[in-house]
Amino acid sequence: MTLIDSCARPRFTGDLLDTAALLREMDQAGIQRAVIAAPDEFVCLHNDEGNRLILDAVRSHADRLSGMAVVNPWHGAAGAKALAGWLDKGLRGLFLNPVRQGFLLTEALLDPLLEVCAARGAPVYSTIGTPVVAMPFQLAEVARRHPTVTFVLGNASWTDFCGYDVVPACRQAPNILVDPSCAIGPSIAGFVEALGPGRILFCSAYPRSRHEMEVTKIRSLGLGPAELQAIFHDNATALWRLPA
Amino acid sequence: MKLIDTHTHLPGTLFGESPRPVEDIHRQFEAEGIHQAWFFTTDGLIRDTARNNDILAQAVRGRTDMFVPFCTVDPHTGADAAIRELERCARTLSMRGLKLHPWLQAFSLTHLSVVPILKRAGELGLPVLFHDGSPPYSTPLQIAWAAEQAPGTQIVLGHAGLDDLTDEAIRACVRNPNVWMTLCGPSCGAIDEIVRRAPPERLLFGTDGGGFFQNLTAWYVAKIRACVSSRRLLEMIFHENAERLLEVAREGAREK
Ligand SMILES: [Zn+2]
Repeated sequence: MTLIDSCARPRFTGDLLDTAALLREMDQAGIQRAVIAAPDEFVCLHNDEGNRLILDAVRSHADRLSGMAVVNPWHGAAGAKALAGWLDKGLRGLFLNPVRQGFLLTEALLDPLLEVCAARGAPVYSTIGTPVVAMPFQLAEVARRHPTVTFVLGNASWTDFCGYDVVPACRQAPNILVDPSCAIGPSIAGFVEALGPGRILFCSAYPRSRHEMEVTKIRSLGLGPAELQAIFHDNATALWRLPA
Repeated sequence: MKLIDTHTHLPGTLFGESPRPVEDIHRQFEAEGIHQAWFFTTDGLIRDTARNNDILAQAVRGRTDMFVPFCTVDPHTGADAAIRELERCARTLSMRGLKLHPWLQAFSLTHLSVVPILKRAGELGLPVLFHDGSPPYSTPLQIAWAAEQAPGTQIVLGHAGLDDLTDEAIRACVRNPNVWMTLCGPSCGAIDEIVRRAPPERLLFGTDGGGFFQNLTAWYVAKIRACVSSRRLLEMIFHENAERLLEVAREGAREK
């Protein structure tokens, strides 16, 4: 089975994007492809610089890497224009981190970016689980407002809301997929049972978590081959429109 | 390597789990390589405090090689009543620590009875392990404030800030010599940061398990091993620090 990691973020060390370290970890865990976004250094400020680094990495490793753009919603109309440009150049989605970027998921501030994603069929990944700014029900509210956009609920809202809000929030909006990274296995087993394997999207959360541990975790849930195929591969190829 | 899990619970009915015979949990812990488990109530955190302390004490009878029982008290009953229950647990039930969960038990750390309870726990030689990492009642700095008022009591952040609040958990631990942290919750990136900045002699291993989840211990051990390469530090985290914490707490009591 080919494994796809739908969210990793290479480290930025010594003025370079360390894709080599990322690829090494992927190799060790048997992961063929990762969808990457810029590291924290570029999530709040310097979005274009980060997106340029990601696009370069994706172009140099077209067989292994695909990319998401980062755009801070506070850039307003200029940000929406920039996002459209990055998607046109080949990045495949939008990466959000509300706590770092300083906005509430439900704010209208985000709408111009989401409209760009809707027009281009680009998915939106958001880190979720930090109270006030990035909660599962806030994501569901946004997802209901933008039903044609697919959202990824990052890190299964680890820590506190993983076992509580995730399933009911996902039931409010069918256009949400769950990234099971960081969360404990039993919660993920609960998501698969409640939401079906079609809504679970394998992500490594690298470097917040580690590829090998995340792969082992999913494999130890006792799921069948079809379920694993969906979680590790099929959901990702459909979402990111990757070659099968 | 010897493994002490400083954060486990006797399953109750609070989260819809089914109570399990303690011998099953004992067997599972042994099979998972756990040598000692600090063991807390689950149901007692929301109702019938004293009765659930009795249930826990009864459960570990004859099994104290594996289980180190921690009691709980309800700060809302007032300092006097809570301290009476604490003393009963220490003296009559041989409980060895106190578990508090400000989120489930719905109290602020600044509640008038909290600091007196913590001080008395220190005098009795009981370390106090808190749930932490969750606003509005369980942030590491709220707990550290209480720890500063009770410097003779050993206080454990039971989740090391969970994941969002590791930064302040590290700061709390660095500032206060009586604050320890259990690496139960933080992801690898956060553990990297803790290992880099926090006092290594006050880091503990824990899972928040209780035999209700399969593979939980393996997951947490793998996480620590993925982040810590020094064998020395692994020994400290997996058992030495926990052993020393119980000693420090006991010595604190003798000085009174
Ligand atoms: Zn606990």
